[in-house]
Amino acid sequence: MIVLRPDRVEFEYQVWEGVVRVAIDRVSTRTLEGHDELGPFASFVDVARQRVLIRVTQEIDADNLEAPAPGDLGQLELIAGSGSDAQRRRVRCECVVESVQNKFSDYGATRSIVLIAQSEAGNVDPVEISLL
Amino acid sequence: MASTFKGLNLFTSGPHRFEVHRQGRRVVPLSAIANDPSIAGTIETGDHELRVSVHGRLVAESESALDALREAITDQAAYQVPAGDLIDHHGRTWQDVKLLHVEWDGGIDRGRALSVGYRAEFGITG
Repeated sequence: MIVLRPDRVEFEYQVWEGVVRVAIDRVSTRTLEGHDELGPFASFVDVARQRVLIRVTQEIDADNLEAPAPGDLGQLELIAGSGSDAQRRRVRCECVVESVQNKFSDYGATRSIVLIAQSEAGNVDPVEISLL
Repeated sequence: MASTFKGLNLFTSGPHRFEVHRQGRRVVPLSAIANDPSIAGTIETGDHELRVSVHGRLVAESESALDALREAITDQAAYQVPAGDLIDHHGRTWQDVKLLHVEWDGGIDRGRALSVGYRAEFGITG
């Protein structure tokens, strides 16, 4: 899932300004593959554990001393819009900050924040998408 | 074809493979028999007993269904449960073997389905 230039991004009720993109990736951290004796291909594949990784990229155009820190837990909420109220969606998830990295170039500075979503019960998708 | 033990489909809920273990003469160091490390040499004491293991994964849609699959296997591994024929996917048969024990490969994995890995060892004793 990719959201380009979301209308608003908040983390634990604090607005993150200048967000240019949010990517939500899902990767397996435990893949089960089983083979029988009838041929070379797996006859059973399942993903028993998965990680939902959220990467937020901000453009920073002024001094900024309020970056989140790894380990911070909070609710990330973003509004993905299309320029009008139609099809606007709210994406919410509870997540933990894994890393915060800043990069500089001749064209400006960007901050990349990586978060990992968590599900309270473990059996519900932590990313909740709703129409506004 | 489906594998069976005593006609039961114990393993067909998920992927599984058969493995035949060491075969041939059983050679024992004399030092082990005499409990004396200074004694050299070995002695043949017959053939290795047949051991066949089945390793795979039980797959179910619910906790209770997975429990039932596990119990069906452990029931066959209990003391004094009689031997029977083990037949693999290709019809290869090991006659009058007992399910000696089963080991579970970690806990239950909960993905699209519930599943647990296992290794069940069959053999002839006595």
